Amino acid sequence: MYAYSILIIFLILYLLRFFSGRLITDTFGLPVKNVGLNYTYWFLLLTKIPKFIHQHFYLGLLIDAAIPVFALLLFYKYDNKYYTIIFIILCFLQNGIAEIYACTHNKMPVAVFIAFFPLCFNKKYFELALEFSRYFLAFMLVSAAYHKFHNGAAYTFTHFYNVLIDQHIDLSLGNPNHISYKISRFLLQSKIYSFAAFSILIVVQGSFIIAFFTKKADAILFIFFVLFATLTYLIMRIWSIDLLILAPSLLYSYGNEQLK
Amino acid sequence: MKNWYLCRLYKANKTMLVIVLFFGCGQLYFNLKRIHNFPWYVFDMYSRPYNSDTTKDIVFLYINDTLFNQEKLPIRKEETIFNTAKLYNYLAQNKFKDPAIQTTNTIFKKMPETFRKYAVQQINNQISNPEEYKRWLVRYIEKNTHSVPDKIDFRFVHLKLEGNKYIYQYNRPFLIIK
Repeated sequence: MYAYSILIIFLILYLLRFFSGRLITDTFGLPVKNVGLNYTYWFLLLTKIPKFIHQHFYLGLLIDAAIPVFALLLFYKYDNKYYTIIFIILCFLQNGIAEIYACTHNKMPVAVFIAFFPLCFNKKYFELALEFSRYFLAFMLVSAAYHKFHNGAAYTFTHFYNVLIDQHIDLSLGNPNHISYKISRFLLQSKIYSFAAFSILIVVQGSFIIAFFTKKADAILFIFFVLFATLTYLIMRIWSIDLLILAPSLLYSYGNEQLK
Repeated sequence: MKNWYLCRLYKANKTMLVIVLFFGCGQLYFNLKRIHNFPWYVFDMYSRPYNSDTTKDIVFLYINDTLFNQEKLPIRKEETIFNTAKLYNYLAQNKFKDPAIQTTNTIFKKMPETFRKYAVQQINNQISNPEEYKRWLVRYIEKNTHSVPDKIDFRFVHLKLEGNKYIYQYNRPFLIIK
């Protein structure tokens, strides 16, 4: 069931990726690139593989097409760890090449690799590997909450108020009827509203620390997680939908806990 | 303690334990260094106190002298257009010699010169034909806006903060594509 659920989510996300222009073929012909200090991509570039694939349209198209084909194959062969490993390698190549040449680097796609990690091992180790995916999800959100305290945003009353002023400047000029702009205008009516919204975000992110101690709260964490991904998009236009591929790791653990 | 995840992992599958520990150490290392390096990222979004400036210059895309509504494009296509244009402009200001070459040489300073030249060739931008990017961007915009604009340029839009809203003041072209 876990494999089916992440594969369905992956195919939906891939469809969004296709329409969103984040495939290798969308960057074909782009003569600039940017890797910043992403050393993994530095080493990838040193192998000349990205350049070779990027320059040959049909090779990029082959990888872009092979990924959903492998995803469909995994519906029947999810027990075969070698297919999953090949699938992950193809996803890595696509993600890397698209990000390098589109000069954008997003953190969210890493969720796909962590979600498929449990399928890279023999069936008898599946639950142990799934726990890692679950802990990674919890770490990601707890880390986000921790940094907000460590770096000071959590107790700066006007922080989120100022963020909202800047966040949707393009909408204020070009598209003021957008829902995200209307929500931000509501929260900007008072600094208390924006501080409250940010505090709720921190509480939701921080609550995932429970996942390190017990699996009994995973159903609530699942709801928090879906709300987090949805509301960060509606309020901030942050694309956290990629993270939802990790949501089944919470439901699976919760289901097992209920059976026990 | 024997119920701890790492202890159970040690007893069950030492290969997986090594992978998990390697990942954990990498995550800790890059978090402390605050470097974003696949698959280890620092999840410190919006964690530093943010102040609004009284005035601001924001890059906008103008098509046929009209501000383009970016919401018409999916977020990733919008990122591709703006990020590549900003990089191109940055390279143009440096006469198309990639300033990041210095970083590459610093990181590989202990390697032989042949390797450093190879690394610069593979990692950094080598712009032999500056017009190539402009032609690519025109085709990309035409394909995604389903139109053939007469004029495409990027402008700094100067904004002034009044209350809790930025108000348009004027715009200044800085990168003419077509």
